[in-house]
Amino acid sequence: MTARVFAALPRILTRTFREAAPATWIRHRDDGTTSSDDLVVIFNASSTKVSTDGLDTVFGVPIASCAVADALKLEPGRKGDLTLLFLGSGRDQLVIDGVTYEVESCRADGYGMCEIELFRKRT
Amino acid sequence: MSHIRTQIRNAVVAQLRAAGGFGVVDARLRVLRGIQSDQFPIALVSVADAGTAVGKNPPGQRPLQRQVIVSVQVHDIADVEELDEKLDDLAVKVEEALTEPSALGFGKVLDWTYAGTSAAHEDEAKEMGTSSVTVTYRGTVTTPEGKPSINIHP
Repeated sequence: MTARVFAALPRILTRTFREAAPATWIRHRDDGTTSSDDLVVIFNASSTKVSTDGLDTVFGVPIASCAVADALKLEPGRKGDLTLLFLGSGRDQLVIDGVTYEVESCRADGYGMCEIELFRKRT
Repeated sequence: MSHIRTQIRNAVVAQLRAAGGFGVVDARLRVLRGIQSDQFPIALVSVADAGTAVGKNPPGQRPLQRQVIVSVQVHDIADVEELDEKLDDLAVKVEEALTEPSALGFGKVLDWTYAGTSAAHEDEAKEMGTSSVTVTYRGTVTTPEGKPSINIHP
């Protein structure tokens, strides 16, 4: 649960720093069906990721963040484990500004936002 | 046609997928992409080979015996108390799936043998509750020199 003092934060962030157009969140389900909905995201096409011990630095990682509440409104079934709010390995995709990204992993920051690490395929 | 190593790797991946019980079965370099916690257990397959030309034909016309080493690394995520046992259970699945080489379908392979399994190591487990063991198989396939995609004994 998000502490009450932060409750307004996701709304403010997604309103202030959002991409011009909402992203499209595509979910390929196990039963073969696909659904897609608009999702407001904050996006950085080339973040730098440094591992906790500093041994591993990756440049140019696309990272998006969105309000957990927005995502849960579309996928209420995923509220159990927020590290699985967005699913990787080809199951979820985000189309941001016309470019399709695959989800690598995601984590909730505890203040109502979820950070989604993405991967842009070469093919 | 693809290299005999590719054929072997694809065959092993297909066999392990058919065996079931793994969330992800893929080639070793799959680790470069993200894998989420709900996809464990994972099996990663890699194939190496070492060649010896046999017979008295001139170079370029001899059969090439390739000793192939097939490694299947199985990963799982679990509480420490049960991690060893879970990894061994996965190794059981791998051994059951790979014991019969004719089921793999890349042609005949000589002396297909289980070669060993590495021990699980705590360094990996400490950080994120995952650990792995690597099950290794060994065998010899024969290709003509310069034609690595053709198994002489199909």
